[in-house]
Amino acid sequence: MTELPLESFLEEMGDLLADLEAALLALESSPSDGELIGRVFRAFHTIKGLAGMFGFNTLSKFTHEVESVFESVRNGLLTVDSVLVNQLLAAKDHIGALLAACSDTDDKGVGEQLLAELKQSRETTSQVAADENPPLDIGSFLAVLTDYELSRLKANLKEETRLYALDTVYSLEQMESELTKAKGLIKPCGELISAVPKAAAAPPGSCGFTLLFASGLSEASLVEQLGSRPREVDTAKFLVRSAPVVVSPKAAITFRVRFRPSPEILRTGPDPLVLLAELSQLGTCLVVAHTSSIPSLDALDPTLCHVFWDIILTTDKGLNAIRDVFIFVEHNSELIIEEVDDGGTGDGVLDYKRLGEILVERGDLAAEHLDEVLSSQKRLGELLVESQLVTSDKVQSALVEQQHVKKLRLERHSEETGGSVKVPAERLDLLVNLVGELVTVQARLSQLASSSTEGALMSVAEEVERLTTELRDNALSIRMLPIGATFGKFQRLVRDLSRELGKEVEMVTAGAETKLDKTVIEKLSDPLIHLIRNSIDHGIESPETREAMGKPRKGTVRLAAVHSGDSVVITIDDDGTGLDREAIRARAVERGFISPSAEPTEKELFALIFASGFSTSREITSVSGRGVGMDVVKRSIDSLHGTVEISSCQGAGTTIAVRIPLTLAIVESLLVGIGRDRFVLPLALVEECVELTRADVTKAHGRNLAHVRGSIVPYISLREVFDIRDRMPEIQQIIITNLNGERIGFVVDYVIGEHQTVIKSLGRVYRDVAGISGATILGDGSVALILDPPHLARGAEL
Amino acid sequence: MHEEAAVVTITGRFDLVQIEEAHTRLQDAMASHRQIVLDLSAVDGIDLAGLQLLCAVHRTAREAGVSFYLSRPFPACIMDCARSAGFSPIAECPGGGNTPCLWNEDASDIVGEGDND
Repeated sequence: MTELPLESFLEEMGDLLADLEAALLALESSPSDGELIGRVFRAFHTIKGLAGMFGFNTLSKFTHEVESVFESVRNGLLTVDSVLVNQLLAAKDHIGALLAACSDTDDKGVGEQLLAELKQSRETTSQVAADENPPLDIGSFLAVLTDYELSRLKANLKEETRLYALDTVYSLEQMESELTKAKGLIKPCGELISAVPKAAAAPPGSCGFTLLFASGLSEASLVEQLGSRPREVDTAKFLVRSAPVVVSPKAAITFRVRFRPSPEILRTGPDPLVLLAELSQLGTCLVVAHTSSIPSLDALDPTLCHVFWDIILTTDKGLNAIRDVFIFVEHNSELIIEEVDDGGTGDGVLDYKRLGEILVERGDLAAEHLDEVLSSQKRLGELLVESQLVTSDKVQSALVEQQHVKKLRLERHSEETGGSVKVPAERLDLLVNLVGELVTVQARLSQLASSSTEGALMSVAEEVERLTTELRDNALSIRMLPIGATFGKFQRLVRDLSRELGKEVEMVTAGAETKLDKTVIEKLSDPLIHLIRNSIDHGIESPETREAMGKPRKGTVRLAAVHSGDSVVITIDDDGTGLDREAIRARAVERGFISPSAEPTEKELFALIFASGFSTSREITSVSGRGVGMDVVKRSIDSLHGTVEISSCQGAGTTIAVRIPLTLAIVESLLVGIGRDRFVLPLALVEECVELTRADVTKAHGRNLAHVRGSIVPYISLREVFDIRDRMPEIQQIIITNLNGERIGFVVDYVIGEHQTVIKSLGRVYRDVAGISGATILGDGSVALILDPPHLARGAEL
Repeated sequence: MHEEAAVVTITGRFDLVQIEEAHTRLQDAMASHRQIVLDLSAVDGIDLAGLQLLCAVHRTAREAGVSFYLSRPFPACIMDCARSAGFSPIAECPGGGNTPCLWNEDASDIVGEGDND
């Protein structure tokens, strides 16, 4: 057994604690959920075991005490209430704090106090009967078994053998020979799964092992064979946890059914569509109708059935269940049922039959025709249809079968191997950076190749481009994480905050599986916390007020994430008091953001909330309903190249929608030029480009306003902003962007085109330059600055 | 041959009960008009016979160079039934060369089918 590094221990602990917290919070709302109770118990237990292994003895002891209190819950002697959940959450926090400090001493006696409180709640209920030799929990072993050992464990449990643990202590000198001896003893009884070094400290100069083995023998005969009494390991929870893998009752088998009913079936019944519907009840069912023999209108007898079907059905109900569906039509229909996939997982199962094989097997194509067609090099399906050997719907149907079985096998394969590897985030970042460099180099290569006359170079450059794109997409997708973990953190925030404020708030989340780049998720956490805090603090009313207004006592904050193009939209929705338009307006006039006579639209008005200095004092927040530091939120969302929008209905609630690009590493952008300089603008913000002639400029009398199809668009001349003095062209271009609903133009000399921009951060000196968010390296090796339009626009207003 | 469109309206459950009558009406329309508008908006159910007939009309119109339109809205029940009967989209209509299949995703948007060759 190799020693696990401390890092991965801490990481594992982090995961366990997060899971523990989620389970505890869920437990609070459904206190008698056996599965949740099991989850909490397992988490404490595993934490205890791991902490012990790594020498965090105080932590291990503390967790042990907590666990034994919780055991009363598991045994049904203690019921879960919010007091207990509070205490357990506090215990979890304490464990987290100890780990964060990487210390194993509890200086302030926090743990002691927590335990005292916990025990008190336990004493009000009856004592747990002490079991002298309780079955061991398998949880403590799972974490330390290797994949191979786990798979052996599963295989043994499948055969319903029992799992035993034998505790041993050997002196260090004789450890090896003793272990071999013990293994020799176990061998005739069953299979040794693993020798796990024991968590508890062994006497000096010796080492303890827990020998984990599976055996079909009874405990009595084991005692006889081994000379000591092994302890049985409780595997029930393990079986529950990975039920689909360990105890699959009957493998799902995939069948191919060809059903060609008698033409009379429409008149005589039963309705073939009803049969298909029945079939689809049996499992996953793909139906392909062959309609090519439906005759033209004049030749058609509309009361006859001209259609037949291929059905690919994955079911665990067996062949007879399928036959039963067709029992009344079997005598006068053509019915062929064949097994195409037996649900097993052997070597090479990921591949499925080729299209030609399927068609020949189905009798849709003669083997000699297949060979003939295969001798040319085009795609088989197209060739077969072209040469009229097979109709296109038969090819389609065969393809459906192929894809379905392939997908099924892939799923099964990944389930079986568990197919995941833990990789430190820095290594992924490095990978993404390298891919970024590669994209840049590839752009240069493509540029060189296109200006060269060497044909071979061009084809290599094209190949490299294709591979780079694929590599880039894959590398970026590795860094994509579901946002659910972040949502989980907010549950705790909502719970604690609503308690503190004396409000009743429930948080509902949706789209937890939505994936975003890891770096984006990290940076998004703070602004979202801020927005949720605001929703609860200022949005949701007190339970009494809510009742008086005819709303349910409990307020709801809904947090949802959804993909939309190349960005993700996160909405925070509350059913609270909503924004007070008049108060905002009054405040905006007072602070000089709008003139007293202005009639801003609702959108414009709400956008003012994000203006810096709009509402920094407490008194305004209590009037307007929103406010503290919304400009900070806005700025962090801007830095993610995102946008934020508010809509609100007074009395009914507020919705804040944050739109964030999927990744920060590479963005689609628009490459433009001013003089000899190049700049890029995030394409997501760009709406359109229009021309600006010198005459237009003269006509506007020095005001930077352009007329675009009847509306007036203010613009900023980047030439002026960056003080570029090259000769100005006769016709410039205005790039019109949409910044939170406001159209603002940026004037450049010319537009070069779309560009895949690999973002490089600027050096320390330039990091704080307003209006520039980074730089990128172009195909020819020159550098282009990445513009930050929202920032530039703000700068121009001042 | 009339230049203006023949409108064939089918209502209620488009099934075996009215299939022969609908078949005759469509045949007549096809024989005498260059354009056919099939109004299915008041259909509230369909069976295999109905689906078959739709396929046949669609292909025959294409072969005869008759413009074939479906009026909107196209009832969801027809599309649902076609899906579960496995009529759902095959890239190319098996009957008529490169005709897009009637059961393509956006078949309900067919407004100018058949007049583009």
